[in-house]
Amino acid sequence: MRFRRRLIFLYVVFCCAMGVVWLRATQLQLIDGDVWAQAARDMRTRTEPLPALRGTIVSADGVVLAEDTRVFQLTVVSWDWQRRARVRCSGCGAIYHPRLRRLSSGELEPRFRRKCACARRAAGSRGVDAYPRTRDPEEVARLERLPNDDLKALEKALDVEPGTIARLANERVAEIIKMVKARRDRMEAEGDDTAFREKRLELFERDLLQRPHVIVGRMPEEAARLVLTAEDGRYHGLEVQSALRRHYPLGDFAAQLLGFTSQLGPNEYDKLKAQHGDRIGFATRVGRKGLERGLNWEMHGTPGFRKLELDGSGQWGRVVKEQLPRPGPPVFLSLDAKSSVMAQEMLFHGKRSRPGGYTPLGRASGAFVALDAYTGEVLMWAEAPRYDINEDLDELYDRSVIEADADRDLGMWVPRHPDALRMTLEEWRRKLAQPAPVSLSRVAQIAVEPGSTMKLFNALGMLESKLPLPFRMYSCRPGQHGPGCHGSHDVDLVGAIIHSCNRYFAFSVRDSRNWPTYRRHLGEFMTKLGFGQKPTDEVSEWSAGQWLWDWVDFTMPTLLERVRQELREKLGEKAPEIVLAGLPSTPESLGGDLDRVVKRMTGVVLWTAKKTGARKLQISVERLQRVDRMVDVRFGVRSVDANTWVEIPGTDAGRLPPALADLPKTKKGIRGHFERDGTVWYISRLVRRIGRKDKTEPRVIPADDGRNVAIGQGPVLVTPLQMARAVAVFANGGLLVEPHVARAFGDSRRAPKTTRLQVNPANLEIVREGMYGVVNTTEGTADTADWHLVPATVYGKTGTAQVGKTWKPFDPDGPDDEDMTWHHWFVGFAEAPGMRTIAFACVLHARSEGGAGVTSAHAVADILSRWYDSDVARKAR
Amino acid sequence: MREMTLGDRLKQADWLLLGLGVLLAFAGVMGVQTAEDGRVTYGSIQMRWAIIGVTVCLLMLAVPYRFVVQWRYLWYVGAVILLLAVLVVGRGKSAGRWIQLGAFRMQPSEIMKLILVITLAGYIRYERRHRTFRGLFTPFAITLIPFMLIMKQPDLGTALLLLPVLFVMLYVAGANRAHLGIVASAGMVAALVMFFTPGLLNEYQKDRVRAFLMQGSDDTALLRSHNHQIEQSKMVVGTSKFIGRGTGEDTRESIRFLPERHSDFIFPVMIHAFGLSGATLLFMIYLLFIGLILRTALKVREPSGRLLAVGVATVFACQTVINLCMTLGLLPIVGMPLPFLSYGGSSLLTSFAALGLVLNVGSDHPVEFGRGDFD
Repeated sequence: MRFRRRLIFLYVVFCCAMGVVWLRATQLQLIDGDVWAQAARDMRTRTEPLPALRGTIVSADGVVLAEDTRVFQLTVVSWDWQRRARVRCSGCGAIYHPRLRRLSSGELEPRFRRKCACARRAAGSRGVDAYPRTRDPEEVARLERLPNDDLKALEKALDVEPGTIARLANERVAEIIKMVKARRDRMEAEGDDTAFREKRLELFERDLLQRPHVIVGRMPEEAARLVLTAEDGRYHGLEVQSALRRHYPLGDFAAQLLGFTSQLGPNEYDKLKAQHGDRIGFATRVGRKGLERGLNWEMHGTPGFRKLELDGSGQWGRVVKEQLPRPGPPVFLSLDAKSSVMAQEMLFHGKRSRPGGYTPLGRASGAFVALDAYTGEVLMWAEAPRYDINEDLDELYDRSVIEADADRDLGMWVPRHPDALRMTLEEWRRKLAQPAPVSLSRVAQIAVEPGSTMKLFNALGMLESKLPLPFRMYSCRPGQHGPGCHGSHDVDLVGAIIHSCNRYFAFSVRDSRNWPTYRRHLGEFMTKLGFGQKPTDEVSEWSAGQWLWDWVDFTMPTLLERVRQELREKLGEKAPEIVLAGLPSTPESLGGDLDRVVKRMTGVVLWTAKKTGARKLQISVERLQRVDRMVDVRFGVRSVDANTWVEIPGTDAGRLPPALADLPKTKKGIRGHFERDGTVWYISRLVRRIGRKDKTEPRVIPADDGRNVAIGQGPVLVTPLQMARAVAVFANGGLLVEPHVARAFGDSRRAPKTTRLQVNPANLEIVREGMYGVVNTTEGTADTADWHLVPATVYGKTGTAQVGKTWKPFDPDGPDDEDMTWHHWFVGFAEAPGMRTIAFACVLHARSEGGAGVTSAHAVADILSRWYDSDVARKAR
Repeated sequence: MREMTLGDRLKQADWLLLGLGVLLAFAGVMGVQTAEDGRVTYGSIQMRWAIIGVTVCLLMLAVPYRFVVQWRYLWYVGAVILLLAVLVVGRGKSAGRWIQLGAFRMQPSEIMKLILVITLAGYIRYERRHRTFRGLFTPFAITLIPFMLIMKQPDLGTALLLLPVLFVMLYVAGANRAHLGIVASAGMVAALVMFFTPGLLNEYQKDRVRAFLMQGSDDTALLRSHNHQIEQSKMVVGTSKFIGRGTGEDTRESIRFLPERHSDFIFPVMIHAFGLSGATLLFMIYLLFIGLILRTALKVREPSGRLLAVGVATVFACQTVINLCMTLGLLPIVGMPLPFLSYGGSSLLTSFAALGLVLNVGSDHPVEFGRGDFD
């Protein structure tokens, strides 16, 4: 009976177990059924993003400046690339590129057998197709593996050197393998013992190794076709994929203005998705710089999606749901592209309008901008140096951002971003450390000393002060009053403008009792004109600050290294240990001490932490901005200056002396300090150097001294855009325009914004008279240019800022020394019946060859002589 | 008493039991056919194995089970040699559990389950030593040798199945429950030590247990690896209707992401195709099937026959419960086929052979002893 009882007990246990199982099945199906059904639906459908085309950028004369195009990219799949091979039959010599899976699974493709005489012979009358697919040992023994390096046809189609493709692919694969190894090492070093560590690593490896990575960003169609149609495994490991890319048909034209786009980084994706919802998708590209960034949301379309369902054969077939992308509206610019290109060629390639015109400046850099004097529409924009936007800047950006994120996310985001490993952080830093600020616009983002063009506003300031002028008539003679000038003459205010008389304006400051009032008016008036001011229009929040952090992440190490070097040079062994203390906050709030010397020398703040006693270095915003200009920030990270007039972020506000209206008069005379080798020596950058002991260098005067300000030297910094805007006031009788380059978005036209300044028209007329004289009288500093070729009345003012560290006579064969470059200015406006009145500013940064600002005047004359041929130049009806 | 002829055995055989076995195998063929992925015709292969299985079952009926038990050590040693051979020449997707024999593959661990039942039944039948604590050593040694070898393959599921078979057979043979409890407790402690001692268990086996404990997690790595199968299985079960979705294209599409759906995970396929109602019917068939085997054990009076029936019932019951629990997320995933239903020649042949053995036991002469064995 005991046996029976035991069996019954066991059976009851079994029944109970089965009951539990039944209850569980019931729960899954009847209670949680809806949840699982939804999960199953999600799993069997796949959502494909359909990226929206960004709006095209079109110039006023109908030239497409930026458009989305589909490009082919050559990618490498590490997994396959490492296993690419050829096999050769040692019997008959037939060579074949087998597919990897076939090779490893013991199957031979019929194609090989058809090619291989030995296989054909072995198959006999049955034919190779009837031959068993599994290889026999003899057949295997005949096969000999060879390296697969037959990429010549592809390299020819891509027009690259032999071996380039293999080199690029190998480099890329090496990067990926290095990355995988680094991840493994890091996990081991950190003692990562989390669950599924191996599985995570395996997934990470698989994702990276089996994912295509771009090695050639754009490839011609015939090269793509070559890879796509190759059937013999020749390009095993290489794949072609298509992608939307921004194309800039004019290449390097106005690259700084147009900017570029790039893919969203994962961290950005999450933030922007939360802010903009459906407008953001995985494949979304956003503007990083220039108009692409400033007008990002105006041009940004709404991406669509396509939801696909698996069909019975396992293929993604039926479209369950589809939402087509809505392309972004086109942006129509006020810019005349053809005229701008013409201006660019004339300014920087020395194409002269006629023999005997201005002498080309060779490798000069600089900028030219022209506005509609009444609306502020930007009509011409040219600058140098330039870079071709179609190069791989966007990809570089993608890679660096994504890699930085990858470091934090354990690779789980990788499926979204195939380009993740293109560039290492070190490479990125090296890029940022390049000194040439090529990507900054010299029209709007780099402010320089205005030289004598400042006299226009100095004159207007004096007139607007309603005080008697310092001199009714000033007799200027060389050697009589000190530094040299532009010859001997007796001048009034108008004459001083025409002659560009330094003495008139400098001594008006020194000798006049009214100087405090003048300078107050001058300060106020220049502020009204927008000098030293940031524009008021806000750009979107995305542009405004987010990238600051990325910028700091990427740039700060470089910046710190520079500061370290500087400190070591200045203080030697006494240089403090530098610790990155984060973004600006006042040292006082940190409770530290200031080391004034270090602060003044380096522009950074040194402080000592109270608790730890550690001496730390803090980077100020000003320093950031300054270094920002020094360091190449081509990747659109100038978020410190987020406001703009023209729709590009990062406009330079320029600089006015901070206390222009309240400047103490310098007691020391300046005579003797201005002269060197019989030439006027103006001070600008040198004033920042404190405690100079080298007596061979000239002594310096305080930079904020009114005498410097009055003649546009020293601490006054303006951008050509600011200058053109201010000059427009003389053209339109006191209307302050807001410069803008986007005239319309899609169907909506943009209304110009203007402000009426409280200026006496009579005073404006006096200055206009002077500007007229500069161009149209024989005494004018710009009269030698070909103004007779310009079908308009031109008013202007030349200006030269001698900012070189050491002055040397111009030597055309001498080295290109940046310290010897001067700023050659010509600003003004031109009006003609039936034509638009344009205000322009031109500055060339080049070695002096005597005439200085006159050189720019020549260039402007040539540009204007062509400008009036353009349809855009005509007044709209 | 004359020897029983084959005719006698056929007459005496429990045809209902055989019928249930065949019914389950037929259901298995249907399920496997539904689970085909279009590349391999698992259904027809399974059908062939089922026919061979029934033949093996009838052959087992023809040979007196006492004869089988008498040669137990021969079978045992042979099976151990096969298990050792697996360690050398074993092949398989995730673990080397199979031996390639020409076009066929054999899984010795499946055969070992039945041979262990036979060996233990032969050893315990007239013994009383197992009722002492020291007497448990030999049956445990008999079990632990194949246990270790199977663990080495590694096939944790099959290995763990041997232990309940041993315990149940000892339990019904009258072993002291306290002794068994002590050994079971010690075994559990040993299992915990094994789990936490590096190197004793494979990392993937530990991960499976961890994954089981972390069901429902959003961890991408988990969902894409260890929990993928269990989540898919639950999804297949959960998306069915009460009366099922049939064996058509709809079901094929729904189950296509479930790995091993034709073998260890055949139950989710069955429940998806035939619904909870079909699953309930399947449960009842299994209950009846096990009940009938236990009834056979009660019916015979010969101890080795009793133990054989109980051992076979234990193998089937444990396999069924573990497999069902595994597919429904109640236990970690181990390699454990569902008897008669899962695809696999070795499993099906072993199941039919075990069934034949039980039929053999049931059709034998009733042998009267002085008192009921193990009472």
